[in-house]
Amino acid sequence: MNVSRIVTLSRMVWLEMMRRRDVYVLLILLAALLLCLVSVDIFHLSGVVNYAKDLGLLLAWLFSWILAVIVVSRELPGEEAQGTIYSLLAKPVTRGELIVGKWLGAWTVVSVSTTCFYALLAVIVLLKGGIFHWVTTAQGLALHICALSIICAVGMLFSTRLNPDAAVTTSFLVTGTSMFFVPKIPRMLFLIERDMEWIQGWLIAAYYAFPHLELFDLRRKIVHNDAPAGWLAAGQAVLYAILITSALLLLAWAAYSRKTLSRGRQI
Amino acid sequence: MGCIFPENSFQREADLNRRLVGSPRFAAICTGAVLWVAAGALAVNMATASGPDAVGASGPAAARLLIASSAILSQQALNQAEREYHGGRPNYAEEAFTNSVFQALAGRLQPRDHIHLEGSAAKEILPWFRFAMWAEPCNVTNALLASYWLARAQGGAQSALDVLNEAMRDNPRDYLVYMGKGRLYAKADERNMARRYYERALALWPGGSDGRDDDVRMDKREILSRLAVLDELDGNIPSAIERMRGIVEVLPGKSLLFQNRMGILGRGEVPRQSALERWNALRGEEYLHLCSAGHEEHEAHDHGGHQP
Repeated sequence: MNVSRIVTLSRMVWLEMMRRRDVYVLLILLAALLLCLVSVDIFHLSGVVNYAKDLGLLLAWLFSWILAVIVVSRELPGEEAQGTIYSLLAKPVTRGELIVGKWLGAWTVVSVSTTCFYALLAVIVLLKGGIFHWVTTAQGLALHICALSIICAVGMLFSTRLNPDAAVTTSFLVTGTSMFFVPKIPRMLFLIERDMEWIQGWLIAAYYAFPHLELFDLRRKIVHNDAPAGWLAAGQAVLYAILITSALLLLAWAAYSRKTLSRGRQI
Repeated sequence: MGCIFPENSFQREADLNRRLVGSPRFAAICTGAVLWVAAGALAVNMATASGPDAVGASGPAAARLLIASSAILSQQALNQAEREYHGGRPNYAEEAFTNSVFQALAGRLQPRDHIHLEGSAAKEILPWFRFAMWAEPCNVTNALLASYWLARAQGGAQSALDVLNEAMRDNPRDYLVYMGKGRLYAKADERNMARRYYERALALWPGGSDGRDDDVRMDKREILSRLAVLDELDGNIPSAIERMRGIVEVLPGKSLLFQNRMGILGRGEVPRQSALERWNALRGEEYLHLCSAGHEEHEAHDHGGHQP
C-alpha cells in the first residue's frame, strides 16, 4: 500500500465533493431548520434550548448518514460506469489502494461536513443562550465520526459489486438496521413467544453480525451537558470501530480484487 | 504528490458536470420529509376545523394517512418529553439478556442512572408538549399535560390557562378542557370560576368519549365531587346530596365515602370534616392530579416502575 497514492485518490473524492452541492444543500437545510426551531415560541418561555440541541443533533446524525452512504456508494460504480476505472487501474494503483483511497476520501469529506453541522448547531444554540459541555461534545463528535467510518466501509463493500442505486439502497438498509433495529433485539427476544426458536436464532445471529452503531451515539450526554463518558470505554468504542472498518474494507478488497470489470453490466 | 492522473481530468470534469444535475433531486428528497410532517399537521388542523368526523373512516385514504402520521408525531413528542424529564436516560425495559459485550460497553458510554429534572430545569420538557399540541391539536390530553407542566415549572396558572384557552378554541365541545380549567381555578381558590368550568364540563360529559370507560367515569366522579363540595360551601345541601347521588350512580364500587357523607348531610348532622377542609384537601389533591398521566408517571417511578 502506497500512502501517497491513497491520499491522492482521497483528494480526488474531495475535489469531486467540492464541486457537488450535496454538502451545501444539507448545511443550508440544517441552518434553515435550526433557525425555524429556535424561533418557535414555546409558551413565551426563555432559555429553553435543549429541544434545539436534541433535534439539531438528530439532524446532524441523519444528514451525515445520508451523505456518507451516498458519497461512498457512487464512487466505484461511477468510475466503472464512466469507464474511468480502466485509466485509473492502468496506473500503478492497486485495487486495494483504490478502495482505501476512495473510503478515506469519502470518510474525511463526511467527517468534515459533520464537524460543520456540529459547529453550526453550536453557534445557533449559543446565540439562543444555551451552553455546551465542550469535552463531552468533542467526545460525542469523535465517536460520531467513528460511526461514519463504519457506515462508509459498509457503503464501500456494497459498491464493489452493485450499481450505485443498489449499493445506496443496501447500505441504507444495513446501516439503518444497525442503528434502529439491532439495539432493540434483546427487548424483542424478551417479547416474542418461546416456541419461535428459529426467529430467536436469527435475531441473535443478527445481533452479533451487524455493527453496533448505537455505541457511538452520545447525543443524550451532549444535550444534557453530562460529564464525558469514561475514556477507557470511549477508547474501546474507537477500537471496535477500527476493527469493524478494517474487516469491512478487507471484505471489500476481497470482493473487488478478482472482479471482472465490465462497463455498465453491474446488477 | 501532484496529480498522478492528468489525462483523466477532462473526462472526470465532464462526468462531474453531468452528475451535478442530480443534486436538486437530492435536495428534494431531503425536503420531502419535512413537507410530509408539515402536511400531517395541516391535515389535522383541517380535520379539526371541519369537525371530528370530516376525515373519519370513510375519508380519503391520504387524509387518514396524514392524520395517523400526526398522531405518531404527537406520541413521539410526548415520549421525547418523558425522556427529557429523565435527563435523556432511556426508559427501563426488560430484555432477554443483559450481559452481552455491546450492552456492557453501551452501559459505560451512555448514562443509565435514574434522575428527574427538577425546578426550572423541568421547563426543558415543555417544547415537546408544544410540538405535540401542534402535531395533534384535536388531542386535548396534550394540552392538559402542557398546562400541568407549565403550572409546575412556572409556578403560576396564567400560562397554563392560556394553553387551555388555546385547546378550547380547537376543541370547544370537549369536557376535558373545561375540567382542566376548573382544576386550575380551584387550585387558585377562585370558586366561582371553578364552579363555572366544572358545570360546563359536566354538561359536555362524555362528549365524544365512551361513557362506560373507567377513566371517563372517573372524570365525571371528579367533576361531581368538586361541585358537591362547592355546593356544601354555598350551603346548598340538597344540591350537594344530588351530586353525590350522581357519583354513586356512576361509580357504585368506589363511592363509600360519598355514601357516608350523603347520609350524614341527609340527617342534618355536621360531618367530621368540614366542607372547607374538604375543599382545601381537594385543591391540594387536584394539583397533584392535575394531569393523570403526569401523576401516573410519578407513581411508576416511586414504586420502582423504572430501574434505578
